[in-house]
Amino acid sequence: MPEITKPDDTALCAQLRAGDEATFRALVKELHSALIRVALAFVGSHAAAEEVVQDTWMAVIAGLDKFEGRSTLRTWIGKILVNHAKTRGVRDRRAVPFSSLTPEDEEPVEPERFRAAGFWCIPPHRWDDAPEELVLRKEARAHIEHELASLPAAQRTVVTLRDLEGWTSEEVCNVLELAETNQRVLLHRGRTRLRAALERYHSGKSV
Amino acid sequence: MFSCRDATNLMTDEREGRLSGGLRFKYACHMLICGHCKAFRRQLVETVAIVKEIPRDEIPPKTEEALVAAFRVRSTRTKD
Repeated sequence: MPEITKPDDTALCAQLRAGDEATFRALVKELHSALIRVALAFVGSHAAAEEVVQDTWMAVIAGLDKFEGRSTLRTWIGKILVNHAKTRGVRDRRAVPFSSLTPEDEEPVEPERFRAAGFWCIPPHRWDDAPEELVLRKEARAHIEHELASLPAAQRTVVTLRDLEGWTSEEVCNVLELAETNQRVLLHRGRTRLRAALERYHSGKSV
Repeated sequence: MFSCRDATNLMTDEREGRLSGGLRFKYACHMLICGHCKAFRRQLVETVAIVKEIPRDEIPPKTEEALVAAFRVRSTRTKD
């Protein structure tokens, strides 16, 4: 997927203000997946997320002249989305996922895998990390995708934006209103849990 | 003493370039001698590479057309 929001958002924004339909269409297509997944952190259903994304685009269209270029265009759009999603989440009485963030509440790697002094007791299971067959690669991906869907909302959203959508940490922090350190903690926990899922997949295969 | 738990906890910080001098040195020394942590790091990197391959949601064509239509209305209004 080409990233049209880079490198120069000022030019992109000028095209949008001039009514360039092709640019708008490309932008909508590019950002759809990320916006849906951010919305899903706040609302309860895919249908509600779709609505939030549509409302966001209507607000973007109406407010194009207000974009000042102080952030990337997708940060600006992302922030509009989060506002809409929060309002919708409150209406649907959903808990706000990023408010209960306490960095000490969970060790990234299961504590029982280390001895008291912190050295490996159950070291990582090794697997052949040479390029795998396409079928196996797809299978591994399906396992990771499944685990990603079951991560706590905050971890899932950060991992999705950073690793799947390729957003920068600055963009993620701005859109989700996270401190950079918290964003990194969430990213690390999420990635570590996905690694564990991949390890379980490979262990299961070798039994 | 700098442990395997410490090293695994710092792997994202390291990839993001967020380790301060002292910690970076301890981390690098540990990674030189610990095969398990090296394997763990490789696996984390592989995990991230696989996440990148997860298919993204496509926009439903109806939604796409509705949004483009709304955009068109804005453009006509602006030109008037």
